[in-house]
Amino acid sequence: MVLSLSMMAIGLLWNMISPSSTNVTMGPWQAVQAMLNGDPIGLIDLGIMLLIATPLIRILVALATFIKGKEWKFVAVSLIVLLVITMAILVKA
Amino acid sequence: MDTIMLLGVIFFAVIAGLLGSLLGLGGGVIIIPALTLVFGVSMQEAIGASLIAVIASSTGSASYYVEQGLTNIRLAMVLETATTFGAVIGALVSVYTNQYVLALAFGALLLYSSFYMLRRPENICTSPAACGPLDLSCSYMDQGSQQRVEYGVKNLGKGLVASVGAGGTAGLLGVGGGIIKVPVMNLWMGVPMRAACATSNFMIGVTALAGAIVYYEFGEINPTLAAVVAVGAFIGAAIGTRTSHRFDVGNLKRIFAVVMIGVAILMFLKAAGVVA
Repeated sequence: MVLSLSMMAIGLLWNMISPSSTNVTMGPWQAVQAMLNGDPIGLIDLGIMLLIATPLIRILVALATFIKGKEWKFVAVSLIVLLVITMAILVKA
Repeated sequence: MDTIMLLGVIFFAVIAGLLGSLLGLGGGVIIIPALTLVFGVSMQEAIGASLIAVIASSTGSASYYVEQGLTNIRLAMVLETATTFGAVIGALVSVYTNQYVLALAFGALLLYSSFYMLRRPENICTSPAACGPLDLSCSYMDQGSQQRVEYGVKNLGKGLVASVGAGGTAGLLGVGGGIIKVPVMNLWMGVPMRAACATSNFMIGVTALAGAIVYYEFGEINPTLAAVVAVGAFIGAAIGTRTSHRFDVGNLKRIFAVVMIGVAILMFLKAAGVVA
């Protein structure tokens, strides 16, 4: 989505102006705190996380469309995909 | 990252996004070799950045193709069950693998795909009869010839198995998997080239999502690098989608194959340590 990319673009420009000392990825809450502390990497990370979420939204939209159209086989298919994605998020736990 | 490198990376990212959206890839085919061969980035960091870029370029073009009616969303979702699974496994393996091994694997993949694409003629399934329990037949209006194209989808089982492989490759090597998905859909499943590319475009974002999540969790993503590549790829993809109807299908395939062969050679050189 354009929002996530704008966030990244702005974050990058910000970083060019006043470079951050770190260059790591962090969880959503830490990223917000980092950003408020004046660390541009926080903004970039948030942008990345938002971008990663975009295809997820695409799946949810497709799922909603299938539910509306009562195409239950494809509802099941979409749920399986969501299950795999959830497993991916939990894989490190 | 200094400014020169920044500009260089953006350049390659835009090209990658452009070619990627034209051919149904995420551009990882171009980004990873560019990052590793030209800028000396490690394979894992390049893969992480590429996965993010794949999502960006997929997003850049997916909605356009869906509006055009080219994307077969049902087919995409069915195959995605397999690709996301493969992607998670692939990403987990990749995080722990030596980067020269990854370079070798990458080169081999490209070589195989390019020869496969060059050999067979396009294979359209012209009877849109339902094949098996799922009816995935679809149709679209071809902008170039202004004709309605209808097609059915066959060999779903084979397609699913191949999709696990495509996903695994995506997670392992940071490509979108389009390299495998487009030929599989076009040559095995009877989907016309343009629809295959559009559907693949839709799918690779989801596949990359699965891989990117794993990479992010393991801290293998370099934020500034990923952000630069993503922005560039998005721009390239946005341009590509809006100009794709000016290119004819035959040329599309040939470009695809040639790009892959050239890159394969370079990756082998890298794996052998000849190129840094």
